[in-house]
Amino acid sequence: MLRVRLYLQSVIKFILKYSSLAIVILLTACTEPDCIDKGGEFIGIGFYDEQTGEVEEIRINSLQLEGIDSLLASEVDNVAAVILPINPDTDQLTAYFDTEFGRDTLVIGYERTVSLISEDCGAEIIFNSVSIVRNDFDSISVVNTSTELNFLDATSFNENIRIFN
Amino acid sequence: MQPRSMRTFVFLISLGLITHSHTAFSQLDSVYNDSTWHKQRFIPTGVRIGLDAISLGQVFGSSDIKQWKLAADVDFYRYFLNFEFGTFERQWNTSSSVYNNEGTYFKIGPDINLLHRDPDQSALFFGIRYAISNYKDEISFTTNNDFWGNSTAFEENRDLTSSWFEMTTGLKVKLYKWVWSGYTARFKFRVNETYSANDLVPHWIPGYGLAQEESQWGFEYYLIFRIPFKQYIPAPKKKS
Repeated sequence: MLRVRLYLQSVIKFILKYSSLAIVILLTACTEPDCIDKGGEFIGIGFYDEQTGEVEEIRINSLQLEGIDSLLASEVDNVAAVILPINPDTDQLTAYFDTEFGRDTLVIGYERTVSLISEDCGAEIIFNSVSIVRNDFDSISVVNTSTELNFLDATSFNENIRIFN
Repeated sequence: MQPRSMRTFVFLISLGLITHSHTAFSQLDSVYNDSTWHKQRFIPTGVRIGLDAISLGQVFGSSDIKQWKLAADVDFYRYFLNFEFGTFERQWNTSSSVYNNEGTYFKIGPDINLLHRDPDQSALFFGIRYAISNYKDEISFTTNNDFWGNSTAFEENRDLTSSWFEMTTGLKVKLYKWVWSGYTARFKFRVNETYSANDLVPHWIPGYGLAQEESQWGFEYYLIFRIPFKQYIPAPKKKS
């Protein structure tokens, strides 16, 4: 038993003395995370019938965002949902809706979170805590406060807000 | 007596005293019984101070990482009480962002030595650590948006604290007199998460690694210097 232990000790000492460099090189190789950017850049808004709660297709005469001169949409029929591009430099987005139900203003608030994924992938910006700051609609609700992308269902529409007419 | 003869005489006397003291120590060893060892086994015999050779290479090399890792242990029979301290500084450059992270960390915890009967005080150890890190980070980045155009932004965390636990294992072996070397491998886990609501989510925790990972592995190769307090008496061999 003693002989075995002494043998083990001598093996350990040999490894320490003569193989340190190789082990150091092997074990210092670091791993970097995959380049998966979950940051969504849009806020999704769906239109619903206030009576039935079903999806409703409406006519949009015009849709404009404060800070962008051109219209996002003009004279479009049968619109069930729209997506609004988030301004990464501010924490609010003001949208002007002109629909078959009248003219309404919607101010949406959000919080920006920045994180570095890796040197290869760069930084990721995620917008969360979506909220309604001010609006003129009869009925409106936030159904999802996150704009993060859902990679499990590529066809799904990331709906944040529901407007009931 | 001539001065030269005097120096020779003093030299011979000193040599004799050294030889005598060595013999005396040998005699002391021979009468050192198990009960004395048993009473004094928890009295520390020295402190080992180690410097991580990998981080040393990074400091003097061209690496983006600048860090120091120091570790010290004091022996209490077959147990070691470990103190570790480190500094970390690194810049990550990407095509659209520059991220800086710097901080310090401290770790404390015990090890148990499975080679405690080794006369050289070699150690094959297992242990645990509690670690705490204080750090700050910042990022400047540009956004390229089809609707809103290009812009530059800046976010920072000025005072962050994270803590976690580690399971450690490794080896420490005497190379020559007071020079030692050793490995420490560590599994880091249960890092606390207090920053997910921050505008900037930290990418790195000094001493831990990637902040978004629930566990991390670590490895250091230490160059160690041992300062003895008292003569080391190895544990008596088991009577068969």
